[in-house]
Amino acid sequence: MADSSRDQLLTLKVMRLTRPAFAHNLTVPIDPADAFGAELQTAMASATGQTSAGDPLGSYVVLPQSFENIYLGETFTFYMCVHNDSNQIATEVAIKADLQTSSQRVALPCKMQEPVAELSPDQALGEVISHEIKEIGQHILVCAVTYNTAAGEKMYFRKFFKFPVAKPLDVRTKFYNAENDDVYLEAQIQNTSTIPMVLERISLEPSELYDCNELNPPRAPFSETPIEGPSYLSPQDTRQFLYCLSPKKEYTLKSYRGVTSIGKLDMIWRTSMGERGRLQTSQLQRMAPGYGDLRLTVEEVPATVRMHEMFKIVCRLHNCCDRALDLQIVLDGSLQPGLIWSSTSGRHLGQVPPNGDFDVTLNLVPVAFGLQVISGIRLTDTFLKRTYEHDEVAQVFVS
Amino acid sequence: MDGAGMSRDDSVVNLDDMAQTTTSRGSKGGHSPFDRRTTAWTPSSRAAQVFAQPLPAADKRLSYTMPGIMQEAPLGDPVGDLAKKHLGDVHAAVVRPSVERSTDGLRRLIASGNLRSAVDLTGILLAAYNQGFGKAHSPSKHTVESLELWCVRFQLLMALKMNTLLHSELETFGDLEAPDMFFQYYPEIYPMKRGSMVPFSMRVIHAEAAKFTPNPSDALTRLNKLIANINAIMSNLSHGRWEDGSVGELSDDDRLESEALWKSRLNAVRQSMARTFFTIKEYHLASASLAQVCHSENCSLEEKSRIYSSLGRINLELGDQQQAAEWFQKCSEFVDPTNPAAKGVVIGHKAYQKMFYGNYAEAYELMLEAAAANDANVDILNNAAVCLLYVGRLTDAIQLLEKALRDHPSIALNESVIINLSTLYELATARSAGRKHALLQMVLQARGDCFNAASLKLP
Repeated sequence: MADSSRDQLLTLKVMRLTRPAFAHNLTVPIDPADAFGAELQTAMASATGQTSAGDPLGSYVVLPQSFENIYLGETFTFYMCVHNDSNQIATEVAIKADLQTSSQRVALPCKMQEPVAELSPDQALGEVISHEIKEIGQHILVCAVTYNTAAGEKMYFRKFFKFPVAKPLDVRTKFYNAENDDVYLEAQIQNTSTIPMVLERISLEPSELYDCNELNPPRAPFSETPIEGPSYLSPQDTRQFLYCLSPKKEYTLKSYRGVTSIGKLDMIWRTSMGERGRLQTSQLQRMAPGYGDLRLTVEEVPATVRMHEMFKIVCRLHNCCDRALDLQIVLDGSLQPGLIWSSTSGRHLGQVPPNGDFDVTLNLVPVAFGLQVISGIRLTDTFLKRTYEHDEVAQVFVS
Repeated sequence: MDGAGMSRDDSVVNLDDMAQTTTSRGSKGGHSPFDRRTTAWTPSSRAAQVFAQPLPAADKRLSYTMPGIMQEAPLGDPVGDLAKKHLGDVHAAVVRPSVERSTDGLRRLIASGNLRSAVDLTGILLAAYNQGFGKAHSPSKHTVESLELWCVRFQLLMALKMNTLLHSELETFGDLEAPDMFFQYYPEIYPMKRGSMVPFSMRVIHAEAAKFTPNPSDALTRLNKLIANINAIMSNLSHGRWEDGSVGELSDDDRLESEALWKSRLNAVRQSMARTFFTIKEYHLASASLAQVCHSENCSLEEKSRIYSSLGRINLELGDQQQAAEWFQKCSEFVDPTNPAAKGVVIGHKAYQKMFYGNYAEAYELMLEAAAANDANVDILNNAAVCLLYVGRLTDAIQLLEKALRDHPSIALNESVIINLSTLYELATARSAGRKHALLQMVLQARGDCFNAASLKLP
């Protein structure tokens, strides 16, 4: 703290305004059959103002008495006040407030920063100031007061208030790739603060490549005796959220190769008496599964087939790379003893342009009962003499 | 559980004379249906085994429960000490009532809010039963009156938040089920009487006080056991038997009164359970316990509205305004519209929710409206003053609280108002001591020694 307060006419006080808290009652179990209990309750009530010795929280709210933890994403609100405890008038009183972190110094908006105010003896001037906390680590609030004495002497002093800012949440993400190009994002949010919090809204803002569908159950309607767990998240507890991201139709599959931005998680939460916090993650990145140059998907396949009856499947070949592929198909039956290929192997299919599709119909005859896996499709690109193997592309049930 | 019993010391004062005096609670050693209902309790198997045999003669009977107070020094008077320190001897005429050393004196101390002196007096009175300081683990005899004294002492200790002392003094009582805790153990004093001498309040305190120990789940175990016992009693009643299962004369009125009594005791235990869950931060379980109380058939409208209001506040404290709003809505359905304070309660709830969203100016306007309708809701005035600070009107906030103190001294002179006003004084001036001394003077003259001295924020 600045030590220039010896000859000062004015003093500065700062009080952090977290939400006020409900007073805690004095509680004592009371036997309803015991008249004496009522007398004790009355005595306790006169001291605390409580109306009941049974409720943990009273109806009075109390001003914050100690400096609670501040968390990233919360709003730092404080009352800053300067008063004249001398017997002289102070003129041109101005107060500036800055918030300093390890990386920057931010001037806080303050009505009292213009040196126009005058403070007579015993007068005070104060203001409520708010600022959203956007960094973790040590913060220093620097309040600087300037004024003139009655004799015209320019006076100045500063006060410093240090406080740490911690992380309230921990976010972990997992991606699940579906067969149809959809991506499922599981977000695990853990409360790393010391108090319970209510996650008011957790939403995913998708990037321009995806449409987002939130898959979280709606909040259960109010019930006096709910079956589900608490609506709040206790310290160290984790809650999971699920989102389905579908690629937008206007973009080709090529845009989704490699690393793509999925979107940002936007989290709003509340703690005691409505203290609000908000954080956004940076763009979440996802590594697309590699399909290589040639991707094979099965467009049509029956679920069940009869023994010894021929059935067909339709395969779609998608050229994922930048050059044209000249394809030849070979069917290898050695990997699927329960099914016999009944189409021509070694056939030349023709050229597939970049990002182009080509459909191939293949026939099979089942010779074994049960769940059979279709394997053994070999496609060779005659241009570069490269062979792409596709196994376990689909399953059929043979009855 | 108690250790091995010890034989009674012959030098103990003969307590038979004391056993006949009435206490502030009324002697439960009698035989009226009221006595039977309130002291009914099925003996534990340990006690039942002892009663199945003929009891040894009085001077050869074992002592199982051997309590003794664990603090010799008086509890002191923190407010009085502050006064002596800050107000100088001339102004600090600390007038604490002096009372006779009897249960009537005890009652006067409690009624005047001098709970600390009351604890000291219970210690003196218990010494006459050979259960004073240093007498723990020494044999002594128990009567209805001595146990009621202990019960008062425990209630006071809990109210004063002296939980360590409370726990250590409760320990010598074991599980309250030793044979010497029952009327059956003293047939020469309470002939033909069956039941527990332990006041029901003491049972609940014994259970709930465990929430302050390193094993707070012990409180839940004990409370659940209490609930099981009460359910057994109610089952006996519904089958036309006496509470402890024995067969005897039981008129319909008697049975209905007893059922009502034990149902309300069940609700008291459930509220204890809720408070225990609250202490261990299992808030949704606390909610569930309280909701159970509201659903019970004998829960009064007044109690329902009080509990729903409490649930709303608990949820706001957690950060769940949606849930809180539902509870407040339920509360408004049960609030007594003829009660002038009722409108203030509903507006108070709306104001809390405005504060939740940081709308302090709107909250203040709402509460001003309520205060105009019924000025006696001091909590509304207090909360309005807090909102004034949050919109930057420090001087107005101070004036509002000072006015509340002038207009409603008997209600407003409480720890919440005082701590808020002391905080505002500190913010407003570097020379706040004088103004806080004025508050100290008020507290000294109008409040007992249980007033929390720390709320004055004086060194």
